[in-house]
Amino acid sequence: MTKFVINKTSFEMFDVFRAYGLAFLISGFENRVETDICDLGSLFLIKTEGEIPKEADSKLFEETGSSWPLVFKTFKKRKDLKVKHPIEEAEHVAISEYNKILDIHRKYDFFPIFGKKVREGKTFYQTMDVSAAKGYREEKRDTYHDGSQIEVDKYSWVIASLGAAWFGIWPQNLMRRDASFLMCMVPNPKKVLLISHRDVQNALDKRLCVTSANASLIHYSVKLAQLTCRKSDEIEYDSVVFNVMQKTGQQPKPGGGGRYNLDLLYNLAKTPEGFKALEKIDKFLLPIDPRIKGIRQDIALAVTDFLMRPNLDNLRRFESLYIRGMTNKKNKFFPWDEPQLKEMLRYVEIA
Amino acid sequence: MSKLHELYANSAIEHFGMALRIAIGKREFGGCEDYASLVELDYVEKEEQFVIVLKKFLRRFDACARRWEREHPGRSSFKPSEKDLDEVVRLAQEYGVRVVCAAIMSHALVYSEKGEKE
Repeated sequence: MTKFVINKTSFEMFDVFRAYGLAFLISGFENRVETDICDLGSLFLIKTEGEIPKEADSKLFEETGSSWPLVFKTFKKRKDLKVKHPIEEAEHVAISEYNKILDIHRKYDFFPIFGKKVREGKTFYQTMDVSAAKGYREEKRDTYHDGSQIEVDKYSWVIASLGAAWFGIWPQNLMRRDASFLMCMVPNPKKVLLISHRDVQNALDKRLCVTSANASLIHYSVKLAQLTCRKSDEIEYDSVVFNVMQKTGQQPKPGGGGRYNLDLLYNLAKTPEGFKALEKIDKFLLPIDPRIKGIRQDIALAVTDFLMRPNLDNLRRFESLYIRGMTNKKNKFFPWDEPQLKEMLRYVEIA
Repeated sequence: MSKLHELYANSAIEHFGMALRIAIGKREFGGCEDYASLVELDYVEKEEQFVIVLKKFLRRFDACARRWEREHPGRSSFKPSEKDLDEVVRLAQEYGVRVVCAAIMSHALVYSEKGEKE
């Protein structure tokens, strides 16, 4: 067994992408070796069984089926540009420096190097972590300026790019013109077998509720909990890390991010009644079209708030709206089955 | 386990919830479309107000039940008992009005059992 280490930094999404990216670089597209990832708190430990492949798999840089174009969406192609496109650059680094990348991640003391200017560093894109966006860390006193780019060493950059391109979840329907925000999510691998993770992500429907960024996050988390609750020996996630970007006429601007804990959803999914309750909630989060308004949108927002903070106020808001939906002739909501609702009430926090 | 879960299983709460479910139901299905009680229960916060809201609700529900009995001769409508009322007021004092209202309203969200009206 060979072990690799991804030391965590303060960039949560970047760390998760690096963990998935390194594991994928080793295992390759065809799962050349069995690879699993464990979150040990301050680091991600990647364990591989079998002989480590001698070179990187060039299929990892193909655009089909990946999110490569989205990761480098802000890169502007110009005829007179002397630098390579970041995808080509990533491929070049991964293939030519494959052994070096593996070697430095075998050591427990390797930390990514960040700075305004890093030797052979690469631009740290906001799609890899929204807190890397320009101007996030600098105060602007007298005159306005965009802020400066942050750079990161090329070894960390290339594995984070791989992780973002193949493991970042970009909801398909948020690519519509009328959706006001962009979002990227990734489940935190508490203990994950890479091949099972890839199967789950392929099976997951990526059309999510576009009512708000929180609704998209909850919709994804509900789908994830439903798919993985019975596979805890192969896949264990503890949270979903998410980044939100606001669409503008120019480049997308940073819109915040964070981590959503999956405990509530997994607790619900454990029992058959709770699982059915999740299926019902999944249906409330149906407005995958941003033009859907009215009580269906309100219910989607109320159920999102309840699952984010299951307190009495949020439950009462949901109940009140739902009863209105049940009595409304136009939007007929069907009543709940008692055991399902009872299971949900088990987790309501009362201050 | 949440307090709300315990309250939900209480029989007095269950009976009041069942009454509320019937009260907000459509007239053609034997309900009386009593949305006023629903709104009042939604906004009540103090114990004194809660007692008044329950009184109003029971008065409206009684009228609804009498009408139903008139339309279905020989059958008697469901009504919460005096014991249920005492228990609900006691629970409101113990757990707080908002939690008790949430538990009653939760019962109004679920499917009614067959023959509930009888």
